[in-house]
Amino acid sequence: MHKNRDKNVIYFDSQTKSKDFYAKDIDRSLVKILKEHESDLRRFINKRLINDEDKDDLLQDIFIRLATQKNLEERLSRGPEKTKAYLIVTASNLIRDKYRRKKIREDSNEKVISNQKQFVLNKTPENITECDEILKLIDKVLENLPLICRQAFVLSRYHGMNYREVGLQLNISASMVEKHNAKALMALRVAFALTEEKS
Amino acid sequence: MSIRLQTAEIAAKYVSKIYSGKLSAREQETLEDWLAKDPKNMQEYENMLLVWDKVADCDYSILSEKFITDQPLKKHKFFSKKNFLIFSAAASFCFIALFLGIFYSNLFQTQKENILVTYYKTRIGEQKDIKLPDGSLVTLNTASELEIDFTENKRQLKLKSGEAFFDIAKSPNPLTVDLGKGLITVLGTQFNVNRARNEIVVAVVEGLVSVDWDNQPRLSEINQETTEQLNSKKPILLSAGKVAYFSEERKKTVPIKKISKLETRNLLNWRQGFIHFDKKPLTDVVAQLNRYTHRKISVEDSRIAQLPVSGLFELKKVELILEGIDEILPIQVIYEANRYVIIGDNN
Repeated sequence: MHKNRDKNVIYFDSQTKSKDFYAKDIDRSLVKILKEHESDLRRFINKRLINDEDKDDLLQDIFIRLATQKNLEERLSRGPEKTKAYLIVTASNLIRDKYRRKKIREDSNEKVISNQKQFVLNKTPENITECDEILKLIDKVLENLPLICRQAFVLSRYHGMNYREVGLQLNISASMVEKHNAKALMALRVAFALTEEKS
Repeated sequence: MSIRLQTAEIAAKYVSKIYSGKLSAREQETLEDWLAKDPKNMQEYENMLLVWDKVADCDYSILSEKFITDQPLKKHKFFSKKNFLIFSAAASFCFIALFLGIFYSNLFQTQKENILVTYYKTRIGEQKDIKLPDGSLVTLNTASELEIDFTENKRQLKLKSGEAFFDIAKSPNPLTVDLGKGLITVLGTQFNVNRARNEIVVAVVEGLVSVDWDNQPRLSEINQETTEQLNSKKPILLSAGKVAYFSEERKKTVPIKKISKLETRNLLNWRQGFIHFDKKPLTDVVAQLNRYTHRKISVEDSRIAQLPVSGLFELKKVELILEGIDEILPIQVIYEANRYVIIGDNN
């Protein structure tokens, strides 16, 4: 076997020819696929995440998620549209997990900071007025929904509960919580679309 | 922004489904098929996700209190004459069940006090997720032992050996992790502890962690964040991205080191089945790999001991990692009956 004596460092995307070694063909084809769809993915991620570091982290996470996927080759052989859909759904799933973790961190940080009496609110004025408008709209939309539906939505969206916990609180099943959330979300989507048309 | 109601309704269902965290493999494929079918579907799906995000950006929980607390849940119309008999039968049954339930739960509670110390152990190469009674999650890495001692207002863990990642749920009761050579106290954070034979490494991913190497004062005495506390009697306060070491040989703690987000992630790669080395000397790499394999590896050539190794490797098969390293370093791996021996390449 050929050995490069000058280069005694193995890189992640090394040119090794080994059949079994991890950094093998699958990496390169994966990198290629990610490159092909990078603009789509970036566009999707840019819309949903603010922090640049988070965005890069997410791309890295997508890579790892795909690299550990069992039937990856089959998944990526169904044409570009399917591949794109696969990447977007994978990103959605990862963002969901990330967001949940972030929420927990923010909460715990807030507690620690306020203990140290250094807590500073960093909301800008524009931010506040925009939020006020959104809140008014949410209020209006939710008012018109059945009680159980808005309770389910508010608990899962603002009280950091998962669907199972919401279900327990409201005495309904987790799949009912999911349906109520879909309904509330649909109502909000329509309301947002209408206000945007007006302005 | 125009909207097609039918498409939007399907998109809303999928978004809600995704956030249930219970998207099955088959459901995921149906969603992908739907997204791939029409670019408009994809666009609507993205719009729907944006609404979902946007709604949470503004804190509605203050306003929301009125929905949660003031109004009671609607009750079903259940008391028709037809249902009455069935209802009364069911009610009396429930009554009996309730009494039995109270009786048994009391019984169990008294037992609970006594046997809540639970013990988990992983074999070499095994990893295990453990859900704690308070909702916290612990992932045990290879060859590790964890003892759990929980009661209503006490959360005590003991990492007897090995490595574990802790994702601790928030609670007013501090959670402690006994490391033998020190004590960790937290309220709710994420951190990783690696307890090797003569070295302990604590790395914080989120929140704050207090590390007290000599079982001295607790979290309550900490009021400022310090970056370097050498041998002080106060516990060390670690924030996200900080790492503390304890070395038996040096008989003291090493100053806290700040590590980048990438390095933090690399420390946690084992949870995804990977291991990462960044210009690590071969002997260190071998020491790490030996934790994951029954067939021990030894470096029997001082010339090659310090050669740097970098890369991300899949942990599943240690032999494959050795093969990979063999290909690039001037070394030879000899496969013996129960072990691997690495020597320098003479060709």
